[in-house]
Amino acid sequence: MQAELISSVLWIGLRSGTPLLLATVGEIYAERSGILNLGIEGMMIIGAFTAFAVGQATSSPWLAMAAAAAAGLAASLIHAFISIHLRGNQVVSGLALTMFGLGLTSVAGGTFVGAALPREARIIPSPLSEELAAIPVIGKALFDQDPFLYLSILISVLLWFVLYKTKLGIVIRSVGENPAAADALGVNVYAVRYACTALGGALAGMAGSYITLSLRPGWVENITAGRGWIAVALTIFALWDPLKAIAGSYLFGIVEAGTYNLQPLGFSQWLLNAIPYVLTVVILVAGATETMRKKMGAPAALGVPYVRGEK
Amino acid sequence: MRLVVEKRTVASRRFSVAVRVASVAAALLTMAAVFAGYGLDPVRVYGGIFSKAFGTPVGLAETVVRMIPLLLISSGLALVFKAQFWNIGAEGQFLAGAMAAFVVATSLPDLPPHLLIPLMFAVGFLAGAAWGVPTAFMRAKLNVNEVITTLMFTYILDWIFQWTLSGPWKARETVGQLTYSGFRHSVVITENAWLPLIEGTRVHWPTLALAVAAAIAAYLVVSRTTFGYELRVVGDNPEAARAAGISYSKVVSVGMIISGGLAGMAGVGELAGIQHRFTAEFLTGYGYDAIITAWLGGMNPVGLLVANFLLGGLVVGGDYLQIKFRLPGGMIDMFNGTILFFVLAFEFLLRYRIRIRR
Repeated sequence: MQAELISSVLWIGLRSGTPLLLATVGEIYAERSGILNLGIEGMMIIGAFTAFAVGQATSSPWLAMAAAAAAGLAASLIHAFISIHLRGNQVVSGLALTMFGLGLTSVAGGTFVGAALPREARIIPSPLSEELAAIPVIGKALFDQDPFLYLSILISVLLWFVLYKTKLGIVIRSVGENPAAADALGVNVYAVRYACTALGGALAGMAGSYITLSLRPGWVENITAGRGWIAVALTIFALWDPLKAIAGSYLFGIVEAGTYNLQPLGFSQWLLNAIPYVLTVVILVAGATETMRKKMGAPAALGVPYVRGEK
Repeated sequence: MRLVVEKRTVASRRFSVAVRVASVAAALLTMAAVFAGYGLDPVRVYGGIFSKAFGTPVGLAETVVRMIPLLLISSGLALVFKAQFWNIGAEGQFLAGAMAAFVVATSLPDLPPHLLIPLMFAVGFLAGAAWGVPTAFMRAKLNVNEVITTLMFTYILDWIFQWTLSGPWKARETVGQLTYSGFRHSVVITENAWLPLIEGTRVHWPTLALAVAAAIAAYLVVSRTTFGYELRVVGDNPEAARAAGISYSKVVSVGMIISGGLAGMAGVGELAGIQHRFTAEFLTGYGYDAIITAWLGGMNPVGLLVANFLLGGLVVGGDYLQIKFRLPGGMIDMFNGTILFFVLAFEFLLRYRIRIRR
């Protein structure tokens, strides 16, 4: 009984951690290049709705996911243009993107509210191997997930590798730390920042698509429910490292899943609903304490527009 | 021939106003395209919004009703934004103020209005400030991003609020001899706590007076006091502020007390002036809308008044759009996001001059 409960919490935890992971890794790239994008929530819900709409029309989950990535990317370019070329305030622009995304999807999704996604358009868990999935406690969580979830881990590891082990990664990090020096070495600062912000947008869009294609197949307004903001917090908690983002996202997902089992013990569902947000504050404080202890912080040029020859 | 972008030292007041107006106009044009894409005639939509919000005395009064909380909240936000401290959680501080005022009104129902109402506003101010201050501390002491914490505090309080409506504060209703608890709403607060209205309208003038006073006071604080000076230095040049011995934690904490407190008072006004009880739909997004007007109006009482009056009209118009054209409520969020995008984009012109060089 106990083992079964833990097994199901782990299984659900990894699933609910998946959109957080994709969005966080995307934000890590944007922030590493110096662009603070607080519009994740907006890009994520645009992706979520796009995936739902395309999934319904084509019954192809993979096409739906690709469309969601493209939509998230397109939305991120608005923020990129305001932040990079127009040197606007990145905090306010990110907020605007979130408002815009929530509004746009509410308008476009008006007639779909409450609609479920047809079964063939969903991404459905299928065991990697029946024997491994039968391992008590951890088997189901590790080996009986959907392909999208495994793909998201693969993407995160790959992006960690690029960021820390390749020349491209050094270029990206240098643009976020000291764009003037990178510029002097012949790096196109604007191009790197556009590319990283766009990657962040595509991943946020994919993150949203996981919600409507797998986690909660269907459409309701505000379906992302603040997950984009949790990803912003996880970016800091993960100290801008994609591998730590894997740990952070799943930890978050598991704790969140665990709290839902407290309801039978007499805790009000309304109060339990607040737990992810309390947890977000907790991990922010934990992350901040950690950055202070290690004396490492956000990329030095985070949120600062770059203009050649201007301080 | 090529385009050259040069840094502008100062932009004249007339030019800044023109740029603001142009940015809002560009947003309206973009949204016109959205309406057209939705199969609606933009001229009819805008005509409808305009005549509904500004065309009749009743409409104007409703616009002022929406402007009251927006003006009160955005005065505080404009102030704290000067320090580059991003309080995004005014919605939660608004709710904290209203909830505290509700407790006061239900525990002291026999207090005469001239005592009860000021007490509710005072307690509402403190509650709004108290719900905001921890985030300022976390920012000052641990460098924790306040954008996220202020927003998370809003989510948290909203769930606590929803819980109170299904438990402790849920009203029991009596029909004949039967008492039952039905819908998720609270009792109606004592009439002693109801704010006086301008005859024939829903304009609760005490909150309106507070809002106008707050806009002027916030402006004076920022432009004329030492604290205002510190606030601006912290915002413009944190290094210089540190070198000059200005305490960052003092500046952001006091800034948060003011902005959270004003948001809390706006919540009191909404409860005591308009709704008189809590329902699950008590929050309508004033705390988020005020971010836009704070940015658009800047730290200037006239700018704030104009921006909030216009956005108040847009909110009234948005309700009308929902009823008349069956547009989803999210249209207003989309409007708001679009306005902010254009305001940000056009600000480029205030800071840079574009020249054609041969």
